[in-house]
This record gives sequence, C-alpha cells and structure tokens, in this order.
Amino acid sequence: MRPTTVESTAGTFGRNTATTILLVPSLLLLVLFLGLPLVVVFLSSLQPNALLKFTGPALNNYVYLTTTGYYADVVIRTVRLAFVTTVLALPLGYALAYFLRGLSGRAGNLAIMGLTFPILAGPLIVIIGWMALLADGGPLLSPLIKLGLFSRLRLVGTETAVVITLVQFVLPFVVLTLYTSLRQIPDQVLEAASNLGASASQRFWNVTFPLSLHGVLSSTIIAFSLAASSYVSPYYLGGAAQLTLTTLIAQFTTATYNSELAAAAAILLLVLMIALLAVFTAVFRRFIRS
Amino acid sequence: MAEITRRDTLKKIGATGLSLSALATSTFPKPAIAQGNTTITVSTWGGVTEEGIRKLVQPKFEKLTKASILYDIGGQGARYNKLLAQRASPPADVFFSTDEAVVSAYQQGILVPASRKNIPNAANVAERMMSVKIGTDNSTISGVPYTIIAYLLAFNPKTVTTRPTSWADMWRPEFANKFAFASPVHTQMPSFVIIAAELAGGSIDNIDPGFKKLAELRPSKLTVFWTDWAALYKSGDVIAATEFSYYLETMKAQNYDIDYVNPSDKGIAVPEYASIVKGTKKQELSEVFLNLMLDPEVQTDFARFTFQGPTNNLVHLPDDIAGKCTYGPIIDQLRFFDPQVLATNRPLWTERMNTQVVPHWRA
Amino acid sequence: MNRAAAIARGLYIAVIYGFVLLPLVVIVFISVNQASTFPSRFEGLTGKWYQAILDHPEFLIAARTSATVALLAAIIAVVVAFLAGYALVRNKPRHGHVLETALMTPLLVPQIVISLAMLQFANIIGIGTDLAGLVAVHAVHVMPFALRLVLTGLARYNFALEEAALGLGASWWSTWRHVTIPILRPSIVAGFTFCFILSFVNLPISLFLTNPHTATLPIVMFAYMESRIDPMIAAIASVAVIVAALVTLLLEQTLRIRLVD
Repeated sequence: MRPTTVESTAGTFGRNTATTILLVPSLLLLVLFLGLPLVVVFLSSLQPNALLKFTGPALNNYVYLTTTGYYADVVIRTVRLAFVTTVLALPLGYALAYFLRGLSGRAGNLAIMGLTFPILAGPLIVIIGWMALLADGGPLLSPLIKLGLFSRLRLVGTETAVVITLVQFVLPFVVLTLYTSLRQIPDQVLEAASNLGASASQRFWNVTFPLSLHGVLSSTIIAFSLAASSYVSPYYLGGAAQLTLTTLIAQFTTATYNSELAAAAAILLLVLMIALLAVFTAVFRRFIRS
Repeated sequence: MAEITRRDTLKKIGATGLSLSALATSTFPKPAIAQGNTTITVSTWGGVTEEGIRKLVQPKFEKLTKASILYDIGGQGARYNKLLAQRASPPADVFFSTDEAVVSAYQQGILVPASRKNIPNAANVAERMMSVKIGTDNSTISGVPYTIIAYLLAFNPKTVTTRPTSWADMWRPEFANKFAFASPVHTQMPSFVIIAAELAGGSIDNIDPGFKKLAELRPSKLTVFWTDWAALYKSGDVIAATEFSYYLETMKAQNYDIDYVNPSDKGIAVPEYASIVKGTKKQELSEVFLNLMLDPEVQTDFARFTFQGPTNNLVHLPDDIAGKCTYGPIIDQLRFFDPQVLATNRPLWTERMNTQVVPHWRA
Repeated sequence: MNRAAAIARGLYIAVIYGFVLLPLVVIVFISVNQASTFPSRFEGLTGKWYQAILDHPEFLIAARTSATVALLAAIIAVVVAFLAGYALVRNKPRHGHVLETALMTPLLVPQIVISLAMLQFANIIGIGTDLAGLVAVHAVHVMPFALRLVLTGLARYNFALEEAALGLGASWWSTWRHVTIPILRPSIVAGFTFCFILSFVNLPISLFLTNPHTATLPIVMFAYMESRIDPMIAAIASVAVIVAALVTLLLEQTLRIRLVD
C-alpha cells in the first residue's frame, strides 16, 4: 500500500532528515550573509575607538551605551515610535483589509497593489512629498492655519510627523498581509455561523477575528520592525534632534567614523528586538490557544 | 482549480523577466565603457560635483591620457567607510573630501601623497589653501585643494529687516525656531563649537563655554545640505540659515529670494580636496587627473558651473561670476580652521553635542 | 448592509486610500509642474521633466540594476522561505520556535550595519562586492517577510489534503505541484511582492555594497538629490510607479498572476 506520511513515504529518509533538508537553504543563507557578518560586527564592537580608549577586546562600548542616559532616550524613542506606528496601523489596516476582502479578481488585485505604489516611488521621494505637505507654510496646513483652525503646528521636526509618515509606509504591508489572511477564511464557515443564529458582530468577533489572528501576528511583527528600522523618515522629518537607533548608528558610521560604537549599538538593538519578538510571539501564542 | 505549478510559474516569471530585461537592454543606454583599457575610479559626491567633473574635466582627461573615468558616488561618510573596509583592493583611485577627512584618512593610512613633479599646477596654489600638512613637503603634496568654499550666514531680506552682521546674530530672538543650523554631523560643526566658545569668552583651549552657548541657540532644522531646508525657507518656516555660499548662489539662481553675509567675525573657509588612495595601481594617471583639477581653464569652468571658488592663483574669473564665488578679497575675510584640530576633536565634540546641546534644542 | 453603513464604509476606504496616496499626488504634481523648483504654486503643465530623464542615462541603468537585484532576491527569498516555513509548520521540529525567531533576525538588524559588516567580511575572505553579493544580502534581508506570509498561509492550511493526495498515490512533488502550492499561491505571490518592493527601494543595504557598475536606483537618486532640487526626480519616481502599475496589469492579463483567486 502506498505510504501516506512523511516517515513512511521517505523510506530511508527520516522525518528529521526531510525537515533538515527543507531548512538548510534558508539557514545557509542566514549564516553566510547575516551570521558571519554579525560575527564581524560583534568582534568589532569589542574594540577601542575614537571616543573610548581601552584595551580591547572588552565590553566597554556596551557599558558606555547602556549607562549613558542619552542612549537610553534613543532606544526608548525608537521603541515608542515603532509601537505607536503599529498601534495605529493595525486597526486602520485591519478595517481596510476587512472591507476589501470581498473584492476578487482584477479589482481586488488593483486595489491592493494600488496601496503599494507610493512605496515604489521610493521612501526618499515620498518624504519630499510629506515635507511639502507638513510644512506650516505648505499647501495642506497653511489654509487651515489661515482659517484659524490651528495656530502654528510645527509638525516638521516632531515625532508626530515621523509617525504619520511611518504609518503611511507600513499600512500597505499590513493591509496586504491581513487581506491575504482574511481571504483564507472560507465563506462556508461564516455561513454556518450565520445559520446557527450568529449576528454580524458575533460572526466577526467569534469567527473571523480569531481565524485571522495569525495574520494579525504577522502584520504586527512586520509593522513594528519596518517602523523600528526605518532610516529615511526619522532622518528627514525627525531631524538630528530626534535620533532613533538607525539614525544614531548611521551617524556613528558615516559622521564620526566610529564603526565600533555603531557595532555595539547594533548588537544591543538586535538583542532588544529579539527579546521583544520572542516575548510578543509567546504571549500571542498563548492568547491564540486560549 | 487552475493548476499552476511553481516550476511553471517560475519559468514564466523568469521568461517574462528575461524578455522584459532583454527589451529594456536594447533600449537602455549601456554603462560607459572605457575607450582604452584603462580607467581611473573617482570617488566623489553625486550631484553638481560629479556632473561638473563629467562635463568639464573628463573630456580633457580622456583626450590627454586616452583613459576614462568611472565614478563611485555617495556621501563622504559612506565613501570613506568603503575605503577603510577595502584596503586590500581599493575601490577607487581618487578620493574627494573635505580637508579634515584627508587628515583622518592619512591617520588611518588609506591615502598616499602625490608627487609635485606630476602636478605642476600645485605651485600656483596659495599656501593657506593647502591646509593639510601631512604628507606635504618639498617633493610631495597630501592631495590637491581643488576648490575653496565658504560657510556663511543667510537670511530672508524681506522678513529680516536688520541685516545680520556677526555670528552672534544667530542667537537673535527673531530667529528662534525659524533657524536652519548645521547638524552635529555637518562638516562645519566643530568650527561652530570654536566660534561659539570665542563668543562666550572661551577659546580652543577652553571649549566648554562653546557648548553652553550653543545650547542657547534655537534652531528649528538641523541641516547637512541646502536641500534639507530649502522647502522650509520657501514656506516661511525658516528665515535664517547657515549654509555654503555656493549653495546659496544656486538658490539665488533658482529664484529663491535670499541674501547672505560674511559675518564680521569671519566666515568659515573650507578647502575641498582630491587625494590619491593608497594601493592604487594608477598613481600617475591619478596625478594627471589631480593636476587637471587645478588647471586654470577647468577651474574657471567649474566656478561658473558650481559657484565654488578656484584655488589656482592664475585664475581670473570674469566679472559676472567673480562676485558669486569664494574668490578675491573675500578670502582674506574668511577664517581657515586647522583640519588637524577639527579631526582630532570631532568624535568627542559630536558626542557632547548630542548629549549636552541638542537636547536643549528640543525645549 | 444598510445605507448608512455602506456609505460609512465607502468613506473610510476613500479616506485611507487618500492618506496613503497623498504624497504620490504631490510627487506627480511636482513632476508635471512648470516650476523648476518645489514646493511651488502651479505654473502650468509640462512634460519636460520626464523628457529630462532621457538625458540622464545613469537613472535608467540604475533602475535596471535595481529591478534585476530585486527580482533575483525576491525569487531566492520566496523559495527559501517556502521550504523553511513548510518544514516548520508541518514537521514541527524541536526548537521550531527558536528556528523561526532566528529566521526573523534579518528584520531586526540595522541594515546599515549589515551593509558595512558584509563589506568588511567580504574584504577579509577576499571576494569583491559584485552583483552576487548584493543580491545575497538583499535576499537575506527580505526573506523574513516572505516567511511571515508563508507561515500565515500555512496556519490555515489543511495538511489532510496532502495526506489524501498521497493516499491516492501521488508522489511528493506531484502533491506539492497540484495541492500545496496552488492553495498557498496567494501567500507566495504576496510574499514575492513584498520582497520585490522592499528590495527595489532599499537604500541602507546598498549603501556600502555598490560599486560604479552596480549602483542601484535609490543610491543614484539619493546622491543626485543631496545637492539639487530638481523636479526630474519626481518624474523618475512617477515613472517607477507607472511601470509598476503596467507590470501588475501585464502579469495579471497574461499569466493570471494575482494576489487573489
């Protein structure tokens, strides 16, 4: 009789071997083009530099970064911006994906792809557009200010401006992820719920939403990491007075040529993000299971 | 259900991609290929610098040497790091940078001096322009200062009724929150720390007052390029700024209603350098290129194209551009900072700016 | 759905789309405005900024490079992510969560650091930074996005379908061809789209890894924009969007490749 599971189909291959073979390509890519460079980064982060003189290899760079208040502010700012962006983009994106989930065929395709067009223009150019829009004297705000609706808003150079642009950047990715996820929910399931007497609201909260939770997890991770690693938005709209970890590291690398301190900051960021990600995913899984 | 296999889909995608790029290839121009077999790679800023070299220098260079030029463009920071990371096989033969970066580069051992013999035009460059002393002696020069630019104070002549006259005017209350100032990563940041210190009664040896004084400034935008603040100037969000004069002339040419002054306590003079990268296999060709950057005709054309000032004493700029470039009597009213001092202090001062000064600018 | 709800829904969709597309409107405006600088009042329509692109071949060359890199990186990332995601969900290996987090790490490392580290690493082992290296680093960076979408797709995937196919005598490869991949196609296509877009517009990774022959479009545009305010840049961005729209339509018409069934 024909085998029906991996184990028996594989014959001489075990389940583990098959798994290993499937995982090797991605892990190889990861190790060669991320892991090894990270080793270089880590070794570099243990070395003395223009700012801190000591005999390396040692952890002085890390001590300096973690004990200087200024850098704590930078980390907090980065996490805060990413968090606010995610918290705003998720509901907005979910609602849109939900409304669009009925679209199929060409309409659906264009609707979703249309959201990604601004990204293809390139974050740099989009920022130019935003700078024109968010300037107090610009076409969007100056009429409002003249009408007396606002006094001087001074958005450029604020975290608000950065968040607005970040939300606009991550929204297409969030919508696309959730749209894909929502469309996987078969209509029959909702029909069945309806037949069982569930109201529209019950159908959503007890059927649709739970079934889309994995998509919510994915889009949250994507939104958060895109926002946290954004360079262009914080640089042009936040400015040098509001450094995030990415602009700070860029500053270390390209302005003070301190790649050692940049390396230490990068490793710290990596550790922080892995911790956040692991915790978040674990909590989420527990939530899904319950 | 339509059965589209991954292999088929990949094939189709591949085929589409290939045919699209074949189509594109036939219509797109090919990258510039060297005429002969030899090229030198020039690492320089994109934008007007690259365009200037392409238009004004490259034709002469190719005619002279039968060799061509490839360009590695980008910001100074990125290009500098590329040189640092690739000592074994340098990605460029000539490196364009500020004089301060030349000092740092020599300290890192990634540049080599050029021979005066192959750069006869260097004899006509004023001593004070040759601000980088490392690698400079009777037979060699560290590199060539191919242009001199000035960092000055700009303002809106309509809204700012009293013309600013000194760097001290940057602290005027009317400029508060409408002022575009050099970012901590700007090449001129250390110069301003010294200027601010002197305004506050300190000096290069007593620099702390400088940071205190800078903390009292109220900029609304921290800048690296004029494009960072031009839009804000147009919309009226910025009414005064520090900026390079050649950028300000560019703005004037583009009908920005803007004016600028050389402060009485002296604006900042900045020589920009072109130097030779250590490990290059095209030393002589590179030296020919450097000599060409100092050629009087090239320098005149460059001045007309970019509004940057010439460094060759033999250059006589025509009247229509003489007033717009850093040229002639104004140079005596400018201050040359020792690039060695700037390079040594930058890491610590950037750190102090970030931690002690910039937080106040938010308040 | 009643009238009010339908109107509210339409309004919401319009507002969100308006928000997302707003900067693009500004960009297109700048690209057709007579004014030679921006921001500016409207001074009349012109096509001269689009025409100016033809005088700057370096942008077209860079666009081709970017498209090539993005295409290759996306293909590699999607294939590799699909295999990994499948293994993780179906076979649930020990330490699967650790592996999943490990495969997400490219998202968490600052790109500018990876770019510089890759350059230093390449220098140590003596290889140059050519197109292959650039593609590899791009692929690693976008792979987590593809993986997330594959995992989301697999979360609702019924492996019993595969069991059925195998039970009916199909081989593994046949099962994948006719069952797994068609069902997961939306996730795969969405993943590919993410990867392509993110690679195409990426600046920080390419910052240290390009040489004169491999300059990508964002690098060339960034360098051009530092010292100039030129509406031509807006025209280039608009062209990128137009090309993307055309390619989307083309793929959809000819190959029926869409994000939906």
